[in-house]
Amino acid sequence: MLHSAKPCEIQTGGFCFENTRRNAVLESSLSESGYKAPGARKTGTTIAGIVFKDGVILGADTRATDDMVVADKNCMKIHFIAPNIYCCGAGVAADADVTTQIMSSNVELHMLNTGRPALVTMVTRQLKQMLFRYQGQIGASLIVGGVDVTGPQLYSVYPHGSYDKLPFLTMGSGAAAAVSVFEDRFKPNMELEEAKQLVREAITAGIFCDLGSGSNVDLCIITEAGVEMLRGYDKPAMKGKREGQYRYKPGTTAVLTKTVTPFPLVVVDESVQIMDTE
Amino acid sequence: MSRGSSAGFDRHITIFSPEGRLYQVEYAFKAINQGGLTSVAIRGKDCVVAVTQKKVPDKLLDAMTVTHLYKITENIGCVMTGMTADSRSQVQRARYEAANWMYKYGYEIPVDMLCKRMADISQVYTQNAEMRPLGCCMIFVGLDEELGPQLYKCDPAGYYCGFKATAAGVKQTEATSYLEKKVKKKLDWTYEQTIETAISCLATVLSIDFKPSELEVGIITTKGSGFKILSENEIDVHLVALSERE
Repeated sequence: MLHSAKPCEIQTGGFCFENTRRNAVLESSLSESGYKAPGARKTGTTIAGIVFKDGVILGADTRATDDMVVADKNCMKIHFIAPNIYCCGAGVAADADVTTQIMSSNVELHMLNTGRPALVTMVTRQLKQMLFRYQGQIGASLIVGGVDVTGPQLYSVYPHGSYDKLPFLTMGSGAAAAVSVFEDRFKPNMELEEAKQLVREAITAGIFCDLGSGSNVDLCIITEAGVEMLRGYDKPAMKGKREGQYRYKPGTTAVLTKTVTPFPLVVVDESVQIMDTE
Repeated sequence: MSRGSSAGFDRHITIFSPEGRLYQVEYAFKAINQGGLTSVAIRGKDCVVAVTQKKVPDKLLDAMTVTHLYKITENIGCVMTGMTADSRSQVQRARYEAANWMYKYGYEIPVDMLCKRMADISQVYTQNAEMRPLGCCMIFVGLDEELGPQLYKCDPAGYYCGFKATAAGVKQTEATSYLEKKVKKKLDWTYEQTIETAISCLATVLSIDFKPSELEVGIITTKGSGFKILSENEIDVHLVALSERE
């Protein structure tokens, strides 16, 4: 995008869908024999962000799912974009990862060109233009948060390219659970500790109430002074310690009688089969 | 080292001469003087002012349509010196670049980035044999949100730089030395002082007693609402103040 030498050329892009017909035929023949075509791994996530008095807090859970199986118990969903801008990604894991990497690379080039620190609006603009160009085929739902010269800002970008600018946002499969916590307890200009607890509770709601989210809570606090990454800030779903022993000690049950009956076995037939070990 | 021999085309297209010069670029600088005008721009403490001559050679011309001051965005204007057709093309391109930046990145282009972009485009013309450099000099005046008033100039060679005060056109050298003397004494001009210095620079260097209809003044201040081109009445006010001072 930034690399074209001719600035007037229209962006051609998007995926090439020439093979969709062939793929549809292949899938139908697969399902006839009872097999299923492989799907992309989704993160099945709860991500959230709020704007508080001094900046922005981003939160995410750490479970990545492959349909109904947990693929990664502790994956990182808060991605670096610029020293003052971070991004949470939900949806297809690879899409979220690569999209945020592309943004990070573009932002770095832009900062070197202009000699100024990055703006959150610039990241959101490029993100939504790219996602719109791919017409939702890139399944990445992102929450972009950062503090720049215009102040703390929070944007959510949907896979088809629409975006919202709000004081609190949630995305992912656990969004409904998390946003209910925000709707109940969010206040503008909260203090740091209060805000951290609120985000933690929102993500925890997603972890417990949504099957696609689980494991730990990651937080990322962005202020004018800098960024604090709290990986594994809270681990609400840790396996509990067993309180007692369920094994019986030897001698718990008294032995009353003991009878030993030997079985005499006679060799009837003996045959040797040589194994092919080559 | 023996001098290499050129095929004789180094004066015709933008390739190097044996001495390492680009003759076409040098000719482009000469072409700026073809217009016969001089422009001056000064950066003050909270404002930037650009002044240029307004010559209407033909009585039949509609003076309202003759201008060398152009608005590029709300907060960036420019004064063009040189060949009028080339100037209009560059202004159009600058407007496109500024709008494209706003579309792609979601915020207004800073003055230095716009000037850098125009300079990069001009540099391409000094490398491509098929295109000639444009015979005009762009002076950008603008307001940066973080850095305040800005003054930048870019030329046909693709060089650009920020300035405290600058001039372009026929009497460029005389105007520049006049400005150097003034800037040495004082750097933080107020709005009125900036305009009066710019006008008096042109008047002194060209030895013309200006009437309001012979000048074009474009200003941008931190208080005001973007790049503004002054009307004849407003210019008259400053001319009167200047003559009273003298």
